[in-house]
Amino acid sequence: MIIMAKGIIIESVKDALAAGSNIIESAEKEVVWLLEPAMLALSFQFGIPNKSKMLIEKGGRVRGITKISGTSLDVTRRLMDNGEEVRHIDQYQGAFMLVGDKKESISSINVNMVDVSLDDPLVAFWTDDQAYADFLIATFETAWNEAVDAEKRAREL
Amino acid sequence: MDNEAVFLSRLTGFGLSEKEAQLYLHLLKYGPKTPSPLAKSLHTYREDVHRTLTSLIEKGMVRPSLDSPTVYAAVDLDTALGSALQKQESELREMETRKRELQELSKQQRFRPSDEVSTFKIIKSIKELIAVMLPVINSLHEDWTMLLPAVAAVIGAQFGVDEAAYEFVKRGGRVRMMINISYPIAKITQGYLDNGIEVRHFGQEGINFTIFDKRICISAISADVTRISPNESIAALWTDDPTYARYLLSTFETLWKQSIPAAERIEELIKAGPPQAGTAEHQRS
Repeated sequence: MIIMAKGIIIESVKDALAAGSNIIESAEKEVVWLLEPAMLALSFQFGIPNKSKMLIEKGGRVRGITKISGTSLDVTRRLMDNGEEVRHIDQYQGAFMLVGDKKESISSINVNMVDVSLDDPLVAFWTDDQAYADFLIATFETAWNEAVDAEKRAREL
Repeated sequence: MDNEAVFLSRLTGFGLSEKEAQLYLHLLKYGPKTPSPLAKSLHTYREDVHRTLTSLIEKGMVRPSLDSPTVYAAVDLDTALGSALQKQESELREMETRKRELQELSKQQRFRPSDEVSTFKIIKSIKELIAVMLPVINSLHEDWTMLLPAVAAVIGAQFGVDEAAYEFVKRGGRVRMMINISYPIAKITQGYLDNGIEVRHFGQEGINFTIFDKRICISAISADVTRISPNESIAALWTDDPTYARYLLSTFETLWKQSIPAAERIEELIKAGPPQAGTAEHQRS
């Protein structure tokens, strides 16, 4: 049997969160994410941070970048308490992404995602293609290096 | 280099990461510890120590206690290095077996021809990007859609991409472009319109992609081109994956509806005149 890389289009916020949840659940070593605060807040409704916590307890590493503001500080703190490494970026215009074990990913080009609800439409791309994951990770690492440590940002706020 | 540094260097040479080597040496020197004091001594986080301990346990170099709280002890050096060696030998044997299995499988399988397989690959320079794009544009059949940063207008004009696009329009093709139109590229944009390209203004940078004939796509996230030269580094993704093309097209159509007709934007810019020195608009230009 030859396993080919697959790609699937996801069309709602709810489905995107479910796909993200599955990626974290099946990750064994590492998860990286770059998400809007609105999506982070919704992720709690799916119990996604608990899945990240379980991964960390098994020795995995979870790193994330978001825009930390007064309103998203509480959510960020809860993630950090779980052991996630979080950094703040002021302005990020591009894609949101979540990559598990440098292979499986979900990403979307996000525009004006301020008020977002579970049933909102969205176009996202899920794939387990390695080269696509490499591309997302290269973008993530660039943003990570430019981002500010969440603790430092929290002190500023 | 002092003895400790030499010891650490030898351990990393043996396949341990720097953190693993430091933690192992610390346990050897100071005896069994729980993660908290280890994190304090090594100036790191507990989570980080947990990760490193897990990896050292897997390598057989650290042993956890069975009682609570768990105390971690270094296995003596001879035994530890023996275990690490055994693990590597076992992994090597495993890989040899997998290699033989794969060789057997590849003999039995008829692989799909390469033109049926979707590919993703990374493009690393402007030169490579142009080299990949021009032949695709010249063999386009139906349409070309793109969402580009303002700098792409300059690159397109310099490297002959515009001319190739105009030729495609003359052959009956449809070209749609969304771009962040600012004063410096207003004239170039007017040129696009004059040559039959449908252009709209999209005032957000950081999202860039192009789709050829609903199949071949090139995309980049936050492409930060500071200097326009063939050797300038970029990180773009090329793919012929039809699902990815549908995903980008669907995104394009959504954004197209939110964008402004280029003629309207150009009129606004000309009315406002060149950006004043010191303004954000001037700095961008």
